[in-house]
Amino acid sequence: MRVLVTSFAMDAHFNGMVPLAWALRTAGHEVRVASQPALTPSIARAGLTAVPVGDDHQVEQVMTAAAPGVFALHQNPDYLEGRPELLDLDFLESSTTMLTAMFYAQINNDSMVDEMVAFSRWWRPDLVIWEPFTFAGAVAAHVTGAAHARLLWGPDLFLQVYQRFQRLLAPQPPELRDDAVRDWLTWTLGRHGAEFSPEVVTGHWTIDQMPASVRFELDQPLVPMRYIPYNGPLPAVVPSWSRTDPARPRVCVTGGMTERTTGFSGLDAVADLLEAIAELDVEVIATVKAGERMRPLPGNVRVVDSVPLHVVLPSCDAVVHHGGAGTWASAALYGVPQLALAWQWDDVFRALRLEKLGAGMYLPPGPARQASAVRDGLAHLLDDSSFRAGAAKIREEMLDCPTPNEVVPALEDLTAAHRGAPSGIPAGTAAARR
Amino acid sequence: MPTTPQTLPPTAPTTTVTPSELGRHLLTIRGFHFVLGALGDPYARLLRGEGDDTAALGAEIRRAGPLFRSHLGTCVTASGEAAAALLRDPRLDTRHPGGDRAHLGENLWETWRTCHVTPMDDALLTLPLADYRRLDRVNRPVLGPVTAGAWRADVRSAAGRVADRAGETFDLAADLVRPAVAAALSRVLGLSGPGPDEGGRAAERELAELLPRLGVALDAVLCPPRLPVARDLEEAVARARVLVHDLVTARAAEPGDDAVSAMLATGLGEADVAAACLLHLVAGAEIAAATAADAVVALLDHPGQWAVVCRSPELAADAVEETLRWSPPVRLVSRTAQEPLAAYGQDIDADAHVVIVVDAANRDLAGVADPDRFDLAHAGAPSLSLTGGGPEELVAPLARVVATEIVRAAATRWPGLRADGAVVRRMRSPVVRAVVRLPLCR
Repeated sequence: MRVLVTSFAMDAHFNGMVPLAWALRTAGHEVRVASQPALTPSIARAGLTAVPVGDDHQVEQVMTAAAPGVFALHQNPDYLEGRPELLDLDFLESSTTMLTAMFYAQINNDSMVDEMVAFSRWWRPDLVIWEPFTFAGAVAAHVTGAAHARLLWGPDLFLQVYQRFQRLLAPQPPELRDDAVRDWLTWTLGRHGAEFSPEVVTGHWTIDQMPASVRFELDQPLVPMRYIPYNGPLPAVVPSWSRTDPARPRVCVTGGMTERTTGFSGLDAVADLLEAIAELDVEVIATVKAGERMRPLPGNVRVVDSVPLHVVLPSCDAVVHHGGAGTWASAALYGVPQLALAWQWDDVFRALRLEKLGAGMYLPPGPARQASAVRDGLAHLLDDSSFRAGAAKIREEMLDCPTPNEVVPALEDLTAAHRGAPSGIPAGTAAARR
Repeated sequence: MPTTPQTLPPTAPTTTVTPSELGRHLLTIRGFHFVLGALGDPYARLLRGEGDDTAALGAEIRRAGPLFRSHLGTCVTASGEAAAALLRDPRLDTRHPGGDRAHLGENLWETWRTCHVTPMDDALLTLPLADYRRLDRVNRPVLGPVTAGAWRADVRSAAGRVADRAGETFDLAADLVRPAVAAALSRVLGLSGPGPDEGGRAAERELAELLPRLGVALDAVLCPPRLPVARDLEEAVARARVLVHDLVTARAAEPGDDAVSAMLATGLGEADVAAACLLHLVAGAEIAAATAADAVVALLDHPGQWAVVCRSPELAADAVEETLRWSPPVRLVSRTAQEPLAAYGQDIDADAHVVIVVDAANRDLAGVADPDRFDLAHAGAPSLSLTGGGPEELVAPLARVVATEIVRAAATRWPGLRADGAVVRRMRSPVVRAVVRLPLCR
């Protein structure tokens, strides 16, 4: 088959797609990865074949201006903590409008969507696998008749909330239904001669990399898949210091990929945090962005620019992190108890699941996050062996999921079932002649 | 796109934006309103157009001072004194100093311009104020404050005919207000004759279908409509321009006993007659409909006052005036500073956007006892509604007559009238807060 994989240009969102892209490749399928030009180096470093489409998105500029309002709304605890049944229509309309205006329509800029559609008309993929916010992939698939699936990097908070929105909109009179995602996708599809269909939001099916106890049941066709850590685009090199077992419990402190590439982080005052943690009888491995000024730290703190999590986590007794999807899933896969300083989006939900499953702790923003409080929390995490056992159970669940290689036959079958006729009308004559 | 009829003033060159570009523009501004609304900006919350208590937001803006600077960059007033002064201030006008600007092509993330959200040039809603003064020279002798009453008998008979068709249960907007406004305007402007002939009925039906689509225009200047609504509005305006052009051409050739013929008789030119006529369709109809609907809603919410109007139907005019004060059909008036000015402790830069929150300002005017209450006894109380020299003032006299006659038609027929459900207001309608539905029982 021809498989088009797509993520908007942001490493943290692309990384989770690399192992499956390779599995498809080594199963003999043709694989292309489409994104804005800014992601081309990352795609190439992953050894995959890049298709740069459109202009780079400007989401950072937009979010710098809009972030305070967007974050203020989404601090709603019913949203963060996964109680969609308590969200009202006003919240859902606000959330959908903001995220469509400030995020979805920004990261799927028109030129990127249009070039992806043009490429798909020419290359004719059988299957499009899209990162769950990269609706351009769904549009290209819908227009060209390809089967298409979302590949999740975290619990499906988006769809869970969107389904609640749809349930509340349905009884409204038609002239009062205000669904910005649908409106935006409608005119975007209309530009390519196609009509809106709900699959453009959901995909024909969903590939889910979360362990079963962190997954939502959303009445959608689901293909579970084991999460495989991929460290890119940073080089994965085993440092010499990591080649022996640590003498003391080892703790990894990291802000993940997101902290390296954006200004958003849950880890404030890192030096204070590291000093406090170093008071414990532990060895601390801290990833701190190169160039970040850092005062001298105690001898049991090793500051590194970066370290491949799949290299260091198997030797760790605990990890302190910002709650991001990749770091969370890597720690879960290696059965490492987690202290999650999450504050936004799915990060909070995943952190709370850790508590529920006895595999870690969530420290909410505020006094609970003072350096001393983080230190005390970490001491508890290390002292109480039940966290290790809880983390091991999540690891078991993840190992129970089929690997990307094992998932490929299911994707082949689903593609055959969903592959259809093109629905769009080619705008360009070159495409029409083919 | 129909060609621009020559009887209407020249408009800006037709925008060449694609539906996607227009959609993205509207979505971005809608996003601004929600983002700043989430941070508590009361003006942004007002512009969202739903889900909030507008009176409370108006009061919040007023508490922030006579001129509140929204994070959208707009200077907003909800103070009676400041509103009255700004509505009269010659340094404020509808357009940008030095000519018009089309914000559609701009990068909104750099300009943050939210003053002319949807292009309304073809609808003539954003003409310079001097143009409305010129247009009023043809309007005033025929449909002005003193003269509009001459059409009352025609309006009464048109509204009465519509009311007589209502069943035991009917919808306030769909079965009474909208068709009555269409019938009244059709008759006054001369689209149909005095009798219920077939041609006249067809004209009424077309207007009944067209006017609600046009009515979105008053909201769309400040609040982005959904893309399909914006595009439908564009089509409706184009259709209205053709309708008006044909009407004026026909009456110029063969005058009748209608307002268009009377305006033409002023000899001030077909173009201005056509423009005034278009304004009655685009703004006047919506203002009349909103006023009539809100008057009925307010009266039914205050059964004692409904009973009073039913006993003395001539008080329908007082009910309309109190509705205009308490629940104005044009709640937000948008202006742009033509030069720098200092007012109420704020420096307003040239080209700054200024918005007057009329409903809140009306409740802050001296000389009104218990201003937050709807009360027929407020008759004669000061009000800033439909003032300021914009399109709303030009169409106001006829809109008052039409709204009054619709309320009167209801009051003389159905003393036992009661609501049989909840009021549904139009989505994204912060300016008009148009009633789209209210089931009624006779």
